Amino acid sequence: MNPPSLRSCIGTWIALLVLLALTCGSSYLRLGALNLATNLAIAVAKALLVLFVFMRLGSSSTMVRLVAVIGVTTLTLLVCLSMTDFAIRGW
Amino acid sequence: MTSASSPVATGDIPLPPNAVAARGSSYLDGGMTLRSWLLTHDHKRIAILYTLSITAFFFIGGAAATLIRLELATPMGDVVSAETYNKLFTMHGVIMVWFFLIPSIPSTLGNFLLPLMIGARDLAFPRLNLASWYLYVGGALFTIAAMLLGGVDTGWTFYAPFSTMFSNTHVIYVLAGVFVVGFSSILTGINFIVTVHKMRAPGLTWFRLPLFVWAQYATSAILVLATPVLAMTLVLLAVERLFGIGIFDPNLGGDPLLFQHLFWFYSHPAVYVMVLPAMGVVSELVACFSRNPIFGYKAMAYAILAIAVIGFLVWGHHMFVSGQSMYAGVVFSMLSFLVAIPSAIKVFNWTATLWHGRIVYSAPMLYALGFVGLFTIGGMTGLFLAALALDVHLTDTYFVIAHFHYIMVGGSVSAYLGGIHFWWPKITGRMYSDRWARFAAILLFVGFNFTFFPQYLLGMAGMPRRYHEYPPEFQTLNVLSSAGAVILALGYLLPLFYLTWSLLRGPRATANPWKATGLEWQTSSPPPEHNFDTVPVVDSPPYAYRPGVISPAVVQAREGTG
Amino acid sequence: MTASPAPALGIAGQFEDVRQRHAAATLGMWIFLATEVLFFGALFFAYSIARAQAPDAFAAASRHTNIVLGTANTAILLTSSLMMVLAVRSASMEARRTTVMLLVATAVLGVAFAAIKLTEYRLDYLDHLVPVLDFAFDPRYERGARIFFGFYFATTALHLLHLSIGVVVVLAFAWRTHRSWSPELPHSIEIVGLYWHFVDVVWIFLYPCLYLVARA
Repeated sequence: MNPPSLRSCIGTWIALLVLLALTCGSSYLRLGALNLATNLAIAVAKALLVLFVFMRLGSSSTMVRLVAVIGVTTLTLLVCLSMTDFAIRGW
Repeated sequence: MTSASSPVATGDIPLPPNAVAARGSSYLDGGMTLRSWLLTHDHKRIAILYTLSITAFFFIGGAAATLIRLELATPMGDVVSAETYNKLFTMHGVIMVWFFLIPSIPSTLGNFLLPLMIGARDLAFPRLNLASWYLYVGGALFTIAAMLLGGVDTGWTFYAPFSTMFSNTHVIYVLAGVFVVGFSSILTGINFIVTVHKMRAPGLTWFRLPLFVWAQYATSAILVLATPVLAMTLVLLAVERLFGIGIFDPNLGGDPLLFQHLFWFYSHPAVYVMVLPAMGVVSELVACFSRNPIFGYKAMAYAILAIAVIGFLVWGHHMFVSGQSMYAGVVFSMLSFLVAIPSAIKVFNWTATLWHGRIVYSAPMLYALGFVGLFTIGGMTGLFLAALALDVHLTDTYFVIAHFHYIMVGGSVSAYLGGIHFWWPKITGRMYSDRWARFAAILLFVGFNFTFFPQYLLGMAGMPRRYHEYPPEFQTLNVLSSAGAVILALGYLLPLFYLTWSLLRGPRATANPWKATGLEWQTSSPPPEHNFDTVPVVDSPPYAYRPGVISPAVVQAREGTG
Repeated sequence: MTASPAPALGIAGQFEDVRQRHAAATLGMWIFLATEVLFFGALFFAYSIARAQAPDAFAAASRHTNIVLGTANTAILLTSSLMMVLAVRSASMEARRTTVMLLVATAVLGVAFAAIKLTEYRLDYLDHLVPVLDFAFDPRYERGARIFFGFYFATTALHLLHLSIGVVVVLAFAWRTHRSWSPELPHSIEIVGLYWHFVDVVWIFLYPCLYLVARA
């Protein structure tokens, strides 16, 4: 599996720093609930950049990608099924 | 086909043409020094290190159980104080769950057999394997320290805020012990998954794998995904206890149900860690001792995976009366009913495997048949508990205790013992007295039912769990249960004697004394250090017993249409 | 098939060839990272529940974190990931000296992160924001702020522990590469890189959770 090109590495790094500036800067705007949504979305975007460019998840073997998906899915299950309790308690 | 009149027919299992039963040295010849054992990379030696460790803990946990049953023989709390009783059932649970059951089949039989069954020379990461044993020992030391310092009284479930705010015992030591042993599980899981994916012998496709391997694989997936959540939960408990951070304690702004969700997210899949390997063992035993291929092999493999997956979705059934939302209760109840389906498929298929078989009532078979019956009873009572309305009455009573002991003891421990007896010749190169072994198996079955069946009745009558005294009208059933425990204990102690005798004086075993299929039987007993002189190439389906009579699934595999 | 040729090639005997060893090690590291996703994921989940139950207190408490140091640290860690992936790249091209320098750069940035973090801890202590050490906060939000800072110290300490282990391993590989080249080094460094990037990903999510709750 080949490591990313020099351009990809630098380009991704710049993108990550831009996203960092965005997430920090947008937090100083009064956007209410949108602040949390924006910050989460930007965090996810940064994570995906690291995963797919630096960690080459896109060109890894099927099994590796399955492992990544299953890890995140299991965590999602923990959160979602727990929320059937937390979100609805007291109805 | 064969003309043998002996129950175990000879000659109907063809060896793969290029497998050579290795002769000469065994893995046990490579030195008996402490160093050769404590610094070994050999998965077989590590398996034995584990076996010795978990056996020691089994008897420590059993000693706690003995004191519990002694106390419960009379209605009054006259053997130990209430506080001591709390410590007894806590240590019994902690030890039996984390230091016996969870490592039992995977770290002993799994470690020894997995590479052999797939034709590999060792696991993918032998040093990680040794590290996992040392982590087990480290965790064990913390837990022993807690015991010596006076024990812990929180219950093995460590419910907060009692464990974080009110218990005056050495909770942190046990939390540390379980945390460390959890990493032992995780490393084992990583090792097994990578090994099964990357190190199978040529021709050994997924649907030619023994069901024991499928079971270890699914178990490893559970270990890898669930245990880290437990690890974090224990960290959070420690943070709350040590630093007064209100994560779970409502007085400090926390949510006690958060603890329960996190804890049971691990602890429910953990019970499938305890039962899936047992099911894998039972498949091997039932096939071999009915001289039939497993009925519905593919369904069995898919059922194993289904149990593992659905097992992650049902944890809320431990919390029906905890104050979680009713909606959550409904969701978890429905999902809990669902998990019974693949389990039932397995029970049906084992039964169908027996059909028209030539059944051999050897000791391993007795344990396997015991598993099928006792697991069925335990599983059905699980369905009762999954029903919301019934659970309101039965929760935290002896009904629950009987339910999980039927599965974990009647089921998993029986299967573990069955596996030990089945693969004993392979592991040690010796045979044991089948008469004594069968006697122990029957004693165990009888003692087990006398111990735990009355507990179903006690639970229905309303006797709560974790109480050291009870109303006098419950005494008769409790005495029955305690008496049964004596017989059960005998059943567990007997193997110590005849198996030790077998080690010292038992007749030497051949490579395949049971005439079983499977690659582990194609090498000598015991195997050489590198398992096989010549790595076999596999070209036939698993469980090729009575080759003239095969199930459709086996035909499909052979024709490549499976 | 005969006895494994692996020992002659210097590969552990349980493997048949280098390709199998590569594939096994890579898969093993990714599975380990999946366990870390669940380990930290459970922590983030607990944090989310706590925050949902005391949103105003969490907002007030988060404003007392040091945004300058936190943001600088994030930039440092992201840059360390760049150094790491460039090290993997130069290792694959067998550029030994460049690889060593990039690995050292990665470790240096990691140490810089740790130094800044510890400085932050000291500043937090002086501001009475450490829960067991003389904690003091606006009484309206004191209970929730204590929980926030409990999470703050627990999560950053855990992250720091993982980072420190990463620094040690990266330096060990820098030393190994410096001593002598061996053919499996590029792959081993790639695996170390996977771990390092993961530590970065954890921080990517930690940063907004701790520093950006309510800056407006």
